[in-house]
Amino acid sequence: MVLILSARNDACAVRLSEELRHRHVPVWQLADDEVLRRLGVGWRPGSPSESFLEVDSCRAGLKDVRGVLVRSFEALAADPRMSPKDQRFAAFEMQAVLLGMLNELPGRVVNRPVPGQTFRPAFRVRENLRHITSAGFRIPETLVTTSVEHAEDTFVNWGTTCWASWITGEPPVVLQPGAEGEARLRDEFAERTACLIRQPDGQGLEAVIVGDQVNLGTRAASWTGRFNAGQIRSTEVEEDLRDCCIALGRSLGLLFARFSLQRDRAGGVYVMDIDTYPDPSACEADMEKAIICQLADIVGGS
Amino acid sequence: MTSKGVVIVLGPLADPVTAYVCTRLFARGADFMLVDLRQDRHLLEIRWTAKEGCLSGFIRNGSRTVAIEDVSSVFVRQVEPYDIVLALADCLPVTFVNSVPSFGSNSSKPFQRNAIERNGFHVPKTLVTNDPVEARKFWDECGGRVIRKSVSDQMSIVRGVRGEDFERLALLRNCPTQFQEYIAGIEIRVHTVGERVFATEITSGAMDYRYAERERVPRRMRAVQLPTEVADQCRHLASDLGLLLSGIDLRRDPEGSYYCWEANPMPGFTFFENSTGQRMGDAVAELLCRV
Repeated sequence: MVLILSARNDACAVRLSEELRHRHVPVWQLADDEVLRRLGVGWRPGSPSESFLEVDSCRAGLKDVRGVLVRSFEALAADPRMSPKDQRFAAFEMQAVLLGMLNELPGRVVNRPVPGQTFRPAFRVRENLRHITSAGFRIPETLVTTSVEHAEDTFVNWGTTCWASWITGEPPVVLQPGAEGEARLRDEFAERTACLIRQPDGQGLEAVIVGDQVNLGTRAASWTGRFNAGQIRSTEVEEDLRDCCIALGRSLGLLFARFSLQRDRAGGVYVMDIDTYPDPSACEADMEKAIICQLADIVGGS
Repeated sequence: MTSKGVVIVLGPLADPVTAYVCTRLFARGADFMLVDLRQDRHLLEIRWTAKEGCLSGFIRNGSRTVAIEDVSSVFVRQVEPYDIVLALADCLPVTFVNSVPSFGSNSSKPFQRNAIERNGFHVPKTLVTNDPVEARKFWDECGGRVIRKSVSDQMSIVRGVRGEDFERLALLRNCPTQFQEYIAGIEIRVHTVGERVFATEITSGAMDYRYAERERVPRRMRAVQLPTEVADQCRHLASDLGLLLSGIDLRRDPEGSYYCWEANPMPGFTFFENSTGQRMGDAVAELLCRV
């Protein structure tokens, strides 16, 4: 049995589910707003052989869950008969169950959730910065400020393309030098504090890792921060870069991630962003297919 | 050795622990800056740049500005996740009481269980379920001596499960619950502050001693000395969870075995210090001021 937890209509979850069914692997696919309603749990921590999961009255032992794809481990409460306070409490409780259980599950969990972190890792956390440099990557110049004016002055002073990245780990926004970029920066920073990341001049690369497989693509210079379908074009990956990506994935404990990279004119490679819930549909068709197959190999067993 | 840097206290002054830590820092003559995000948000300005592994910038709160390189330690309490001050805090190579990633382990009590067992404590037989039949089976297995409590760090009162509760058992479908075998014995709350260990024995007729007044039963607390081995286990557990300050809930059963329920990353130690006189606030201040 493979369990897939995701937001409703998550493209990656749907594609993986199709691939696994094609391979005759039984799949349970649960959206975050139906976990509380559909997922039954009988979990004895420390005893997977005495524990089970149940979906729609079909039961599987915890040790029989071969793999899990976790695209979201939030449990959104959607039972109108309960008060909002009770709904929130129930959602927190189920989330705590998933956090503990997914970390104890003997099967492969892509990716095991990290306590206290429901979104992407704030990769500027000191520990993660150390992992990035140890893997052989560089860290771009970054400004964090509560002052919109200071952010704007810095952006103008740097005079280069920058990324606005959020502490919450939401997808970044690309700011091009000029009046339009400055206006965008004011809009984005006015609401909440962001990191301003200076993009080194050079080539944009996107590396999607699945276990020890590295799928490399190029990022168009016109990219604005959110990918459209097929926007990442597949390209050959050099041995050195592959090794760095694998090392970074391993040290961050990630089986599935997208590293947004920037190679400068001197060949140094910078990590601009890390997405632990990457959307393979952003890659061109062959690359997407390869990623889905690699994921199916991991969670379903090759 | 005492630091000459500035201690940043991130927390609301209305919180007794935050206020108490400030008074203990003041009593030591430590240089500290309180950042009360509930009161002073509009006065706060933070900026820093990271380049080639070096950080530079400042934190300004009203009329006071502290350069980032002058910050020696940070005390964090009741700060919203994803606040910018936490992002800054996460980047600084200084002492944190406690670091932001370490807060998370308590968000799932069963998640902490591995670390608890790894460090040599007994753990009670546990079932986490939203299945009424399984809950009933567990209750029978434990001879009806079962308690229930939250799975997450959401506040809940520990209660015993009684026969009459089974009338409402169908409600379990709405929300998974943690059931544990009841362990008779003496409650001990242990606070670790760095390497220091403060143990408080609590005697109370209430199932959850925190709510003894509500149940109108007496509660007595006294400072006790733990066996060396158990004190070491507490130190190792806190260290394993990345906590420089922790509140560890233990129970010593009649045979002398120590069971551990959980480790709280943001303990309200003033509640215990008020009753026992254990100088935990001073220990926290000392830890924050140490190089």
